[in-house]
Amino acid sequence: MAFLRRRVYQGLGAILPNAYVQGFFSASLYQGSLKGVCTPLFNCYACPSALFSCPIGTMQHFAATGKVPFYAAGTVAIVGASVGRMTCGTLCPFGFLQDILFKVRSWKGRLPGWASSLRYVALVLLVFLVPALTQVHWFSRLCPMGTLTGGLPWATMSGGVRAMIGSLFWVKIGILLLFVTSSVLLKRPFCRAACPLGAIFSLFNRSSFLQLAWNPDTCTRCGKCQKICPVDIRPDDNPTNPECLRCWDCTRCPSLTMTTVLHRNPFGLTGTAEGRGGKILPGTSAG
Amino acid sequence: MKYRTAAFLLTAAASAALLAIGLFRGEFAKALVNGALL
Repeated sequence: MAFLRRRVYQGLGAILPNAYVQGFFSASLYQGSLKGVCTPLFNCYACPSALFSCPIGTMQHFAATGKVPFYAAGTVAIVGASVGRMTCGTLCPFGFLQDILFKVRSWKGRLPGWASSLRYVALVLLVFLVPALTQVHWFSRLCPMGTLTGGLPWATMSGGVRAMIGSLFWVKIGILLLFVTSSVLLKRPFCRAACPLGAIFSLFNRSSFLQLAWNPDTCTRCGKCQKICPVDIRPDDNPTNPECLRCWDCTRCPSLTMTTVLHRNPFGLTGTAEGRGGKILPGTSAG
Repeated sequence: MKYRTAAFLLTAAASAALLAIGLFRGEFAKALVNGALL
């Protein structure tokens, strides 16, 4: 049931920020005041139906113009401090697409652990450093979500845009195809290895208000949580893992539950387990 | 546990301060112009 609810939220996360449908018919961008609002989602604001701004695009624009992006960073940080990476797991449209693609029956592989540090490289290099040095929005130029929801629709709708297509467009298409095809074989390759927004949110997983709690007393270490995890981690190893998308799929297991930093004993146990990070209270039956 | 609560309060306060500074500097309008005129 929780799983279906997440699919509904993901559907809403894909539809609601892109509700300006007339943009596709009039070949125009929405230019109202909502466009100043950064959504905590990876959603391209060059999409003809986009109502809101992409926080990564906004941060990158500020970096390219030599300014500090207080507003976009503050928006992302407030969401991260509240729910950690939860928007990645429950609302992000590109994450939704990757979840669906992974359902395709095929051989399945595993992303190597070191690949998850690449998203921090993408954040530092492509969102801040290179745009600041070159004044060119390099992440947006290469972003697969931008190609899918911005570049491709515009190239289809506008002859002017088609006339401007150069070699960079085909590089963008190649990057999009790389992530689309790898999403069939691997769990969320873009979110784990390349998403700069996910990189920012993952910094907050340890201290966010919403937390995942694990009960070592009832956990049998069966590993089913890893099988259903959209990023292939074991929540029982580290409930505050920066990879965790806070999708709550694993809370189908009674040994894992959603809690907050204010809850000291989320499982209602008497003097056994603290529940977070697998820590056992000293001097107790479990400790 | 207390450490986590303190870390949350600290990050929440810092995030709110960042957002407030950004709004005070009129960055909403800059984001709007950038987003609308892509």
